[in-house]
Amino acid sequence: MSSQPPAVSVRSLTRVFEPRVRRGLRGLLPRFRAEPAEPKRIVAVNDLDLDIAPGHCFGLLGPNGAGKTTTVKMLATLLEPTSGSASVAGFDVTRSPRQVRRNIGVLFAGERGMYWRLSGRENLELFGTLSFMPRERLAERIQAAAQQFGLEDRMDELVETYSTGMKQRLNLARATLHKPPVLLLDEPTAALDPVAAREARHLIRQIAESGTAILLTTHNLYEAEQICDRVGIIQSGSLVAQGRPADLIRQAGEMPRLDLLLRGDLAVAKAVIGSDDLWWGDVNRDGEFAVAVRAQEGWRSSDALTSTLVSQGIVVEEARLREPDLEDAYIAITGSRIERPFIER
Amino acid sequence: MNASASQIRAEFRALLALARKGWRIDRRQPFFLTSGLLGTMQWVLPIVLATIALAGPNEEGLRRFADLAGTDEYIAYSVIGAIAFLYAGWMLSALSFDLRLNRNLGTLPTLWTSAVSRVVLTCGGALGHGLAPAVMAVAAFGVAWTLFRFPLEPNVGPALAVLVCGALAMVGLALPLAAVTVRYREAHYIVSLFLMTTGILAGIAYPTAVLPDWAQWASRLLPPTWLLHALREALVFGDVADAMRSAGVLLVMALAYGAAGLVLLRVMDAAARSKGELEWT
Repeated sequence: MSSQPPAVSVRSLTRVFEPRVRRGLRGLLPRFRAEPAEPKRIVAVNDLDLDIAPGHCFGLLGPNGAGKTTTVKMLATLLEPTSGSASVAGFDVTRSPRQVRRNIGVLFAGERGMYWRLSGRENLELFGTLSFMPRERLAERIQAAAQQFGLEDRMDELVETYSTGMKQRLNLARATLHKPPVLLLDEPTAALDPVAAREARHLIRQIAESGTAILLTTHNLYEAEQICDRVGIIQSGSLVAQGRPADLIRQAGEMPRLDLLLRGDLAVAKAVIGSDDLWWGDVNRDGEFAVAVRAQEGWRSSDALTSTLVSQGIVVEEARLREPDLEDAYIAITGSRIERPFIER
Repeated sequence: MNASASQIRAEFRALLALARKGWRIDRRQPFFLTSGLLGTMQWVLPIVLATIALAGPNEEGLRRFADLAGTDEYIAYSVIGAIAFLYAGWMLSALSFDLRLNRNLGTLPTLWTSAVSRVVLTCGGALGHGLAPAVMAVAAFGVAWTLFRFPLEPNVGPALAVLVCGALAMVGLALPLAAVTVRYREAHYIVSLFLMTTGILAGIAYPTAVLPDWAQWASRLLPPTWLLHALREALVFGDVADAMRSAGVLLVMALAYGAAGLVLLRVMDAAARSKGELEWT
C-alpha cells in the first residue's frame, strides 16, 4: 500500500435492511406490493474495512448478492450505512454527501447512465456541466476524452446508434470527464463482448495509472487479476480476504489444478479420480468429457493420474497441469466449486 | 461570498443544461410534437363545442353563465381555460414525472450521484420538457382563434408576466409531488389524480362560482385557478390590474409551495437513502 493517505477509507461499514413492518393504521391499508409472509432482516454488508490509495485499483469480488453493489451505493451516497464509517476523497459519506459526489465518478451495472437520444458530445457536455466544470475546460476535456476512449469519429452521433462497447466507453468517459479522484465501477464489463471487455479493462488500468483510486466490483476473476492492485473477496456481506492477487493465491495455499479431456467410461473415470473436489463436464457426442481435478500430493505430476486412467481403459485426449490463479484462491476462500475447466470443446 | 456566488452560477448552468437536454430530446421526437398539438386541439374542441351547445341557438342559455362569469364571451373563456389548464397540467406532470422518467430510462443513478443539488436535478429536465408544451399551447391558441374568431384584447406583456408567474407557481406546486416520487414508485398515480381534481376545481370552462362553497375555497389554493383567471383578464376582458394582482398571488404560491417542496424533497431523499428505497436497478 502506498504511503499516501487513502482516497477511500472504509471502517466497520455495515448495512442492514430491516424488514418492513406495517404498524398502526398503515397495517389496515391494502397492501400495494407483494410482501413476504415473514419479512427477513438482511445484513447486506457486514463490518467492512478497506482502504484504496490514489492510483490504485481495488477489486471487490464476490457472487451475486454478496454486498458488492450495496457497498458501491453507500460510497456513492445513495444509501446510508447502518453503522461504521466511510470517507471518499477525505469526505465522510454520511456527513458530507455533496462533497463526496463532487469527487466521484460512478458507473452502475445494468444502468444506461446516459441519454440515448443525445449525441456522445451532448451527453458529455451535460454531465460535465453537472460536475460543475467550467465551460472552457469542459470543451478541452471532451476533446481529450473522445481521443482517449476512441470515440472521436462518433461524438456527434446519437448514442442510440452506438454499439454496447462504445456506449460503455462513453460511460467511462462520462464518469472520468471531471477527473474525479475516486472512481466507483460496478461490474463495468458485465454486458460486453470479449473484445470490448478487453478494451474497457485496458482503459480502466490507464485511468488508475493516471492517479485515480478505483473501486471495481466484478465476479470476473480474470479481470480482477489483470487490472486490480488489490482485491477483496466479499461473501454474504463480509470481507473474507483481501490483499494483492498474488498474495491471496499464496495464502490460499492452493495445489495446482489438473484439467483433463477424457474419453471412455465416465463411471470408471470417476472411480479412478475418486475425489469430489472437481468439476465434471457432460459427455459430448464423441464420448469425451472434461474434468478438473484439484491436484493431490500424489498427483504433482500429471503422469501419475493419467497413467492410472489409461490403465483403466480411459483415453486421455489432453492433460494440462495449471498453476493456481486467483480463481483457485477465490474458490478455496469462499468454498465455491470450480465453474468450468480450462479445457473445453 | 465569492464561493457561494460561483456555486449558485454553477447550479444555474446545470439547471439550464438539464432544461436544454429536455428540449433537445423532445424536439427529436417530431411525432411527440405533432401529437401534442393535435392532442391539445382534441382537448380544447369538445369543451368549446359543449359550451356552444349549452349556450343554445340564441345564446339564451348564457344568462346564467354571464351572471356568474361576469362576461358572455364564453368561447374565449373556455378556449383560454382549456389551453391554460392543459399547459399548467403539462408543467405539473413534467416536473412530477421527470424523476420517474429518468428512473425508467436508467439515468437517475447517474444524475443522483452528480454534484448538482437535488432541487436543480428535479426541476431542470422538467423545465426543458415544459418548453415543448409552451410552444404547443401557443400554436393551439392560434388554431382556436382562427376557428372561432373570439374577441381579443391582447395585453401581451401582462399575459407573458402571468404565464411566467403561473409557470413558477406550477413548478412550486409540482415540487412536493416530485419529492414524493423519490420514495414511492406509485406516486405518479397520485399526481394524475391530483391533476384531474385540479381540473375540476380550476374552472376550465365554467366559473368556479358553480362549485359548492368548500370546493370554491379549495380552488383558491390552487395555482391553475389564478392562472386561468389572470390570463382571461389579460387576453379577453382587458382588466390588466386584476391580471397582475392574480400574478402576484401566483408568485406567493410559487414561494410557498416551492418552500414546502424543498423541505419535503430533503426529507424524502434522506428517508429514501436511509431506508434503501432508492433502488433503481
